[in-house]
Amino acid sequence: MANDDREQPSGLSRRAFLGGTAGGAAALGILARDREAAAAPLKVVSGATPLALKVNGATRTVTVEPRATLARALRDELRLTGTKIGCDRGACGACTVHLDGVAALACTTLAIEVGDREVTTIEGLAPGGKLHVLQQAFVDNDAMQCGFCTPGMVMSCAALLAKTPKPDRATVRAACSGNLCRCGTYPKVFDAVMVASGQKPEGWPLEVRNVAPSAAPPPGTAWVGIAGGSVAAELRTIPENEAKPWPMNPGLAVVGKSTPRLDGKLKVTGEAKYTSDLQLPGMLHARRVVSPHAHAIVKRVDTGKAEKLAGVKATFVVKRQEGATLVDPSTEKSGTYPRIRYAGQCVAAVAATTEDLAEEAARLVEVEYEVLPATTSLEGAMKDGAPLVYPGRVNMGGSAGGGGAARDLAQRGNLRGPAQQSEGNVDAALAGAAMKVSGEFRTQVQTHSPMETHGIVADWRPDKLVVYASTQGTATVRDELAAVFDLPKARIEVKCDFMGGGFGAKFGAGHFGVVAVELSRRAKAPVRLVLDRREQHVAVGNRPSTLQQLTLAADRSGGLAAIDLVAHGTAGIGTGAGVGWAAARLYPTPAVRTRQYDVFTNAGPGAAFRAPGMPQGMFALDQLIDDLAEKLRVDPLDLRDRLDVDAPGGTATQPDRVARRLERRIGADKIGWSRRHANGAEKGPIKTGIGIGTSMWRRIVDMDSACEVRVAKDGSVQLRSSVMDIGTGTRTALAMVLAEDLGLRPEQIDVHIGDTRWPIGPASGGSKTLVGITPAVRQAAHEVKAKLFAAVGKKLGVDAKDLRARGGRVESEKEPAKHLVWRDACAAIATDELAAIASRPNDWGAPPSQGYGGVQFAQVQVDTETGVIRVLKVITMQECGRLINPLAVHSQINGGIIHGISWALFEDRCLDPQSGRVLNANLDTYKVLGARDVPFIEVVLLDQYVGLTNTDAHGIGEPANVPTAAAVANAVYNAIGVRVRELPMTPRTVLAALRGKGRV
Amino acid sequence: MSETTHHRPRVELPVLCKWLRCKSAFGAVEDDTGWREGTSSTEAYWCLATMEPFGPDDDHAHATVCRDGRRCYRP
Ligand code: FES
Ligand code: FES
Repeated sequence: MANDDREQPSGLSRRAFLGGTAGGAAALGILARDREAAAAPLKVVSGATPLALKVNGATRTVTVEPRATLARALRDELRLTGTKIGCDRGACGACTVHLDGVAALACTTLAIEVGDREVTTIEGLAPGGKLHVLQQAFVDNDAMQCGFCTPGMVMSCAALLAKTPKPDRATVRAACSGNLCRCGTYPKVFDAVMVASGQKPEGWPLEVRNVAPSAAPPPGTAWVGIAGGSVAAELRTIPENEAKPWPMNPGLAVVGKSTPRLDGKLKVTGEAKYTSDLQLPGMLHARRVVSPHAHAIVKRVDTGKAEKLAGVKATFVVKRQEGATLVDPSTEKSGTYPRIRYAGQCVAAVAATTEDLAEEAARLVEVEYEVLPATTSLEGAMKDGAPLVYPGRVNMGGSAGGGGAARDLAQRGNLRGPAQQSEGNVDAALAGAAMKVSGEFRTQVQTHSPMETHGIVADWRPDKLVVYASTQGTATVRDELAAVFDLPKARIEVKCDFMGGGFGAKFGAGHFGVVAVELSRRAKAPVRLVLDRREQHVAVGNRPSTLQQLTLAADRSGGLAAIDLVAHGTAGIGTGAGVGWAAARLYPTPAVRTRQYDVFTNAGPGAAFRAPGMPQGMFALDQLIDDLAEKLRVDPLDLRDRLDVDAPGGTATQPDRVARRLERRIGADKIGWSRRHANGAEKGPIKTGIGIGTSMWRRIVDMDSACEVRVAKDGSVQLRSSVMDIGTGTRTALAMVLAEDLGLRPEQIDVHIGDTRWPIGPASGGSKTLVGITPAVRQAAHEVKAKLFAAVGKKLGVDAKDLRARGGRVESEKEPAKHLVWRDACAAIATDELAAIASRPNDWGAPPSQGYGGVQFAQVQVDTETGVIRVLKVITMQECGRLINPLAVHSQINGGIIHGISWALFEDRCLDPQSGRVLNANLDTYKVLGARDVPFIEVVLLDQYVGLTNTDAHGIGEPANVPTAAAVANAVYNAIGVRVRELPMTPRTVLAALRGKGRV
Repeated sequence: MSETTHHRPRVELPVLCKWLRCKSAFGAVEDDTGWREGTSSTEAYWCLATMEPFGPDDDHAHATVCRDGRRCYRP
């Protein structure tokens, strides 16, 4: 991973520069000064020489060029891939190792600098297969999600403990402050360090509120209700051959109990292999050639010089599809190559025997551009005469393709839309309303920034295509590659054992993925293409920016009369920059109108990002609801209770509304809402405030959810599915569900997931993974158990129908004395193995709503002299169906909140308005929340049953992220009495808002 | 993901170009027609023929336009 500056025509990557200067620490210091002078293509220095390194207690010889960093020497030469590369420039800590016991960044240390210092990597922290006390504490405290940052985090903390055996909390945070965790696992990391040092953990409270009944529901019914609310057995049509509903969680042995993740040990030891860690025999390395211009016509691409470079095995030039007719040939000047629409768009690619050669070959590809004027800002793109990103309307002649008339969305210049929703007469309601509140809200572009960048290893073989991908959906990658390369799906294997975060951006193969496969096909060898941090930042997705005008109208009693939303957003050259359905659906309103526009700009495309559109929409809506409450002189929580209804008498029946009404009250007590001061009433320059944010999400069911369960005669049990674990703990949750039904412990289940050779599983996204896959697991368990019980029943002389699996044995319910321990029960199988493949059963009917609730309260401190906001506390109340593993849910909710605060206060992708290039395309300049910024977080989980499936499990990734920025914004208003309607809420925006109201 | 698919009467869905993709296009998600109709405001589309958010004809990819009648449409 390198070449952070490749997109800059006169720039150099750090590694290439070091190569040109034959390396040396001093070279780093003159990088900026010599940048322009060194603009000519560089020669690779072939000065690879043997170097002795003392690594993990042994002397190892590596053969590296002087410019090789320690990270590359460890990873590429010694295959010690526990040392990760997240940024390759000293900004993320993923590469942390110890040099003579002191934490050091291996990406900014040259291998030749190490000398005779002792290098310790994560693999050497606790040799002999044992875990260091800190590693064990990480596992026990669930101090990891995707695990990509974990080795670096462990190494930083281990160095701290070696020096300071009993650190205080502030010291722990300081020690982790150079390590970024995009999954937001910091609270658990802090606790793990305290526990490992024999101290009381800081304490990040998780309160699980269960529902009392522990019995199975009566036949033909399922439990419906929520902790703290009413619970009843409701009639359901449950097919005879399906697994029956479980009791509520207190009646279960495994499910609902906090369980450390089964792959924790692999993650804390660096043994977990990510796509970027793979090294296949004969593997080539690919680099892309990307446009430095935001808008251009490619006139010529010449790969000749690159192809002459020894070690280059394949090149690829992106061309127009043969025979493609352009929508407007007069403006497009038909050529061989697609038009360039953003700086960073791929033009060509090369594959070579080493990364350095690939990088050099990419530099040798000559590209001639005709540069065109670009449009890079939302407002600028909407102006008359702005350069057009796309040439104009598509010719929509002919039929609409078999029904469903094409919705002829208007496109004027770069403005596309609106996508509209309308109910009732909004204009009349606004005109006649007793009161109105309105505001303009602005949110910024946020990049996904997973710690593992997008990457793929493609191996085109004569008989099949094998692909290792950092993806959220193995089957989604297979789907695309099958279509693009016209291959049967049966001839494609996509694998993903571990992946370092995605957050919505890693669906499908991606442009880079197709390029890698094509290079592999041409070179007849495996090809690895892992994007560098700049490429990840620029080209593979982001949360689009938005500009919303929102108006709420109310009657005198505070009932909503109308909602009117106009939203503009830009997903660069892509679509989907809307703000979702918060305004239209959160509160029933007689007249609603939403008009949402995409504005095309010459910037990298957006992508789905944790609850697409919803945090943006809620940022506006929740603030205006507070404004309305102020105008009505009612408490904001009371107003929300009044609005969050769906039944006569101001009550609620839909599960999400029932949940939110409970959650607001719990949160109010915990945050001390009754003591909340009037907005802006505190004296002095440093002011505190509290505010509320609201969550909503949709329960999504993906029926492409299947699994296989195998039980062997020796008692071993396997579960297989192509579903992968994005870091949420899916692997462990599946083991827990199966263990529950087989009467085993989760660690007795071997879970094999992330491979399309196994039954199809859902992609991990949209909070739909467990909703889809867990009922399939139970169904497969049900079927395999029926076979097992038939054999055991015969052996015990009891009716198989009376058997149950519990506590590690199979026993007769009527005569518990008649039993076999699990292993002996399995020995009764006539064949060597039993297996069942099950697809997800259908839901047992449809409820009136399948949404999520969720409420968050934030407490902030605002320095009105500097404009700095600190989030002190977030209390979140959330339901997400039946809780499978509260420990992992807790981690995911912490992560959602931390993502939300990071978006609210820090993150902001900056484009140079002239060139359209991203100015902060790495983690040193793109600020994300770090260890020192983490507030106190308290989580209350309400166990909930909706009686729809045999598990009633839901996901949690999305709902936990939706309300945070709104809660912070409302808390800021409560603190300073001035609305900050723009994200990120930086000191600049805060001071501007204060100035606008004459408060500074 | 669609904001318009909650409990609406079923509508006849358009046949889209076989190259059109978005996140919601994957899997077998019930009652999620917004991406096909093109009514979702948050759907990021791309084209498999280019692997970019634009089609081979150089115009943008979207469910409202990747239909029969477009020059690069493939049934
Ligand atoms: S990879 Fe070394 S600090 Fe990020
Ligand atoms: S667990 Fe830290 S980045 Fe995923």
